[in-house]
Amino acid sequence: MNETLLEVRDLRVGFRTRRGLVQAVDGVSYSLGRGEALGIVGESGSGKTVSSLAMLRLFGLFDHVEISGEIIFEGRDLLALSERKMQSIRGKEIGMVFQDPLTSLNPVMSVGDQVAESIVMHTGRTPAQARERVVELLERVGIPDPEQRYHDRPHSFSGGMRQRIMVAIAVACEPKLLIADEPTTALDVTVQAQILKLLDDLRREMGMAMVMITHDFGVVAATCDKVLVMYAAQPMEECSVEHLFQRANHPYTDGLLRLVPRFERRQHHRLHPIEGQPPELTIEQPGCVFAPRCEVATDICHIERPAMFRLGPGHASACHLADERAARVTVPDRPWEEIR
Amino acid sequence: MTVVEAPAGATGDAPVQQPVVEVDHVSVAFASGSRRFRAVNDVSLTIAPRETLGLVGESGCGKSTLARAVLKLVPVESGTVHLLGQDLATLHGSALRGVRRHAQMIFQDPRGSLDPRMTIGEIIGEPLRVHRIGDRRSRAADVAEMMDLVGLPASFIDRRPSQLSGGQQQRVGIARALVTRPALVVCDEPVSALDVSIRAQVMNLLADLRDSLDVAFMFIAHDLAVVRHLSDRVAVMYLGRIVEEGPADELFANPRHPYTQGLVAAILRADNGARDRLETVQRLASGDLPSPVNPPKGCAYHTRCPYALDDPCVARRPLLSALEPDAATHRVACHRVAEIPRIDSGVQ
Repeated sequence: MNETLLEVRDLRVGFRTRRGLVQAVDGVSYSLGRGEALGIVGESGSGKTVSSLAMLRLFGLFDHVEISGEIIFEGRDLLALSERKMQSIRGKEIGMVFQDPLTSLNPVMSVGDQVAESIVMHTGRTPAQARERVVELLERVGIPDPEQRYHDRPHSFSGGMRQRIMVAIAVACEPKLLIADEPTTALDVTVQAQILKLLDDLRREMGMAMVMITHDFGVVAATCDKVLVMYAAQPMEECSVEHLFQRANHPYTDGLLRLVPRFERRQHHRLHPIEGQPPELTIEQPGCVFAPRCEVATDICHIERPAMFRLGPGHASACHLADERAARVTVPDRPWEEIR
Repeated sequence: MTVVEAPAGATGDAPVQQPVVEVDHVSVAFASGSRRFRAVNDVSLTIAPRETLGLVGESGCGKSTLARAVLKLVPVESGTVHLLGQDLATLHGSALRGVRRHAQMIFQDPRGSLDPRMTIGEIIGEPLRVHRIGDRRSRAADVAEMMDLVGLPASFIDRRPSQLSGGQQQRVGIARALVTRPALVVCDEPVSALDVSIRAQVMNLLADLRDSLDVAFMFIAHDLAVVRHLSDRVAVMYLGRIVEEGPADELFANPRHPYTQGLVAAILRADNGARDRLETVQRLASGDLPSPVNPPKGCAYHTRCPYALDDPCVARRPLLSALEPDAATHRVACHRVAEIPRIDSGVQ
């Protein structure tokens, strides 16, 4: 279980544009054990999606992309593989579920054939042989009457059902790693909970590792073992989900947790917005990327980019205040301010 | 031209304050192909002055249609809507415009709801011109006051919407809705299109306005945590009908309808109990939403409800009734409400 499946080392992804190089991912490292679930959390533009697309090399063919670093999956560096080798990994060893099932599914192909496609491609079974497995999968992900609905097209399914079909496609070859990019953002709340439950159950049954990309700590709490918080293309904090809600260290993580209304609080309370805007990714600034918006930034924060300081097993924070050489500064406790 | 300056019937010394909105057995029907379906079905509710009513439910539950019916933006099939004591069905032309001055709306998509060719000052001042309120000088003063109220710098007055961020655009939408000093503001998913840190700013602004202004809000959102944060009272809709209604604290601490219980469990909270709650949702709100075009007979929720029985749930539609006869504040539409176990909602 604790054996390493995936190790990402100093991943950088840049896009050359007319405005200059946009550094979309800037020095991300993490490792993932077999069967482990990692949540990557950040606001739009934080680089959480791009860092995962890099893993599948889904934009590796374009010459305006600059990628460096290593993505070691089962001992092989995915960034160094040939496109042919990569094709045998995509969909077979690494499955993916995207946000919008309607644009990811083929509108003119039956859903059964779409699930069968990767089984046929990766296992050498004939479509007829794959059929039995497809029906089994559709049933497992919760499509009622899978035999009858095999030949239906995506448009005749609801949004939640389409996402279930996407999940069936993603896990058809029992991949070792599942990447889920905001898989429930477009869904109704009760359906969202069902899909998250399905992903969590399938992960345990199949022993899959999972990377869950989301902006919502609630999704992380429901499905992940550990979390990586990203801001402006850089990693801010890495820790176990268990620790996240009690012992978050980084001021940005803390800020994100204070942004959302707390359902369990009876009285109306004030939210704490993070003032300011995320920086432009084309401009390289010295120091910590979060410093201009940080309430506890000190002089060094504007001068030197912090390393990921180790705080304990599996817990690291890219904050100068986490450096053990730093003076003991405690992040000011800002109790919820009651407004009624 | 008659301009309704004060709501008829609101004058005098009535001991009970007249509701801002009274929706009485309202249904709204749409044509879908050759069929008609009811997006809102026999809904009754009231909003008191200065009260914030949250309207929650999943897609197709009719919450946005109901809000539009309250502003007479869609025709009602049956039932009546009274806005400030006036029956909307009887109002047309300038009389309708007169009462509409007292009911404004904030939209989900801030960019799409602002005219890109107008300046911020023109946009915020437009309702004053439409309703012929004040003169040029007083309108300019009102616009400036509103911009200050919603936290927009005075220098933005000559800018255009495209020069503003999403959060600033939404502030313009809020200022425009408040400039006529309405008695009611309908907010349809006002923060769901905004990024999380902007969302917190706009929610704080709405909370401040709710507390400081003499205005009632009808607040529509699919995110229950957002609704709870801003509402005094909440109505939960499912396939065109209200299934539960009550004071926000009471309803969220002690949800009684199985659907509300499922919705409350489905709120993804950033804490360590999240996994267990997914089980609860699976149990209380299994399967998919039925199509609103062809809702299930009897209790519309019976197809997803773990407690549904052939009789009475499939056979008869439950009425929205008070949980306790003497306290009519918490109402539930469920035949089996007395037998259904409570859930631990996790609310303090």
